[in-house]
Amino acid sequence: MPEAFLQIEDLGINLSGNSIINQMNFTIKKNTLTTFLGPSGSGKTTVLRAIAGLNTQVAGAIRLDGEEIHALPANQRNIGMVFQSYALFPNMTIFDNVAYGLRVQKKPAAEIEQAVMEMLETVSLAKKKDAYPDQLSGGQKQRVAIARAMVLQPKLLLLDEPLSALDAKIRVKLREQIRKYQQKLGITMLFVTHDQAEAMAISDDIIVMNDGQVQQQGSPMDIYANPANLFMAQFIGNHNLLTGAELRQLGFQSARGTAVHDAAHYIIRPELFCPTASTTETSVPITGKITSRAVLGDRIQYRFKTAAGLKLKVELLNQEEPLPMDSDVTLYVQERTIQKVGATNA
Amino acid sequence: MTPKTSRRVAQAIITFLFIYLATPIVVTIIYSFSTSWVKSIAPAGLTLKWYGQLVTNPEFTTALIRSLGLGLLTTVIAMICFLPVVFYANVYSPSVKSHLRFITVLPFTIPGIILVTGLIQLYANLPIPKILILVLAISLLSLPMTYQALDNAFIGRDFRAMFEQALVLGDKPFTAFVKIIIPNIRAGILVAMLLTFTSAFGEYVLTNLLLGGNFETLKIYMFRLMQSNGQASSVLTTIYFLFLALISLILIIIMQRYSAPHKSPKEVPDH
Ligand SMILES: Nc1ncnc2c1ncn2[C@@H]1O[C@H](COP(=O)(O)OP(=O)(O)OP(=O)(O)O)[C@@H](O)[C@H]1O
Ligand SMILES: [Mg+2]
Repeated sequence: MPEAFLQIEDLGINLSGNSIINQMNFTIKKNTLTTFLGPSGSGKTTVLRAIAGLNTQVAGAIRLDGEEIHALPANQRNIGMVFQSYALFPNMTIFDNVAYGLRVQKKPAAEIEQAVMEMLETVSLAKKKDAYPDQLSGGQKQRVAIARAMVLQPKLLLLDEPLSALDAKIRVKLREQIRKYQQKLGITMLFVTHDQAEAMAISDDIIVMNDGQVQQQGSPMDIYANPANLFMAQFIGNHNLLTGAELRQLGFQSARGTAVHDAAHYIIRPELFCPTASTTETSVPITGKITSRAVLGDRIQYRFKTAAGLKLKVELLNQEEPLPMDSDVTLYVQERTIQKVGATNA
Repeated sequence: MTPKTSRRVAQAIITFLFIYLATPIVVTIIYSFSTSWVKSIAPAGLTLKWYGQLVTNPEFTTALIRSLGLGLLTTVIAMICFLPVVFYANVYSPSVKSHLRFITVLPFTIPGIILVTGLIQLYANLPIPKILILVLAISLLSLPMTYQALDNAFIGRDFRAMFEQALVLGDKPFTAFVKIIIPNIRAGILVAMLLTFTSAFGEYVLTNLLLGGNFETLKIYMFRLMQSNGQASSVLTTIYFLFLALISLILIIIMQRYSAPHKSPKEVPDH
């Protein structure tokens, strides 16, 4: 494992007597953006609060840059955090909000002025420096919250669902900006979201958690294509999850060159169905009926029922005539695209 | 009854009530300015003599200072005791809040006389100054109002996130409280302080029972005057009434100013 910048070791957290996080382990590399992805209630905020020092009653170890930090109070960790509700101070101007941490550090006024204005330029809010938080839009407030954390140059910046209160267009724009700041300023970020597309779009690394445990950690590509277990296979993407027996019934004797095991689980990605057979790869024809279809814009989503009664999800590019409903169609899947769940490597 | 007649009846009742309540006040105020007012419809003449007499009377000034002191001390103690509790309950422990709500209505159900008897029996043999017992007892009695006013101030903003954010930015809990929490609930604090002050300033039952003649506050002095000097007591009542009216006015202004959904100190144009 190359330089672990943040290291979580056997982390255990109880809240009001309930075990929320149990024996959790993961590491984060320096200057990367890692997202923490998981369903609601899976404990993402709980872990973030422990890393930030807002909950010091934890078992296990938290190391940052080689230093044990789990017993330090929040104000001594040099970790930034952006809250879901932004938590701007309504009684202070935007300038004073961003200057807050520097003033606590008793930096000289001229230095504060320069650092704050530079940061406000970075997030394109220099003109709003004298406004109050209640006078800003949601997206602007979010950028103030990020600027306020970044101006302190924290070793690690934690963001708890920073975009969830914003509408779709602004979310996409802001997530790209956050990624840009992260790369430009070389900050290590841990970003919580429950939006897969968001996680895929901006991360170097994704950590998926559920039930207080890390289910899988890997690059967006890896997470998407090689689910490590059944939870991952169901949680990520829109995969067709089949048992080996079902796969064999469809006509697959092997997947990626290895024999199909009846008891194992496999995924067929819905976007990997083809209306025509491949000329170079082994393709298996599957015949059935389209039972429903939905136009998603660039793609069309079909429900496909095989002759043997298996229901599959199929997505094709919206570029030709849509497949006809209620008459037999044949689709092809390449044998090498079938992925075994929990396979150690592709 | 047609809607029109029922409205007339309602108006008549309100008018009657208003006259019934306002007359004694108006009469008292006029009486306090009159040279003499016996066996006639109108007072014989108007004068400020009684005011002069009362204000220069050392009994009055001492009583006033005592009442002011009692009011201020109670307010300070109530704030120091209750503000951190209300903050803690709101920010960290919503479950504490339900218990608190129950405790804070208790003073409504315990009559002052029982409280005093209990206090005297409990603390009579301990070397605690009676005045301290009094101040604490009055703070407790004003708890329902103080609590409600402070509690309302915490509605509408995520104070927990704001407080924790300040800690994450490196601040210490106490300075974060002073810089972030207090300025954003100052209207609630002001209202709570004024209500506590007024109730302590005008407290009669506990003060009289606990300290009585040894510690004559404005209220006690007022009752004593009533039995001896009608004119002086009407002057005192008038002053007292105006004082309460002033505090009510301040309260109304604060509440109106801060109940607006967004207080924007000044508009900043986009761009
Ligand atoms: N103070 C608490 N006492 C007891 N249980 C708690 C407490 N706070 C949170 N929990 C529980 O801990 C679990 C994890 O909560 P957490 O807020 O970390 O989830 P999350 O992954 O951030 O969810 P979301 O995506 O909805 O924000 C939940 O089941 C929640 O009910
Ligand atoms: Mg959360």
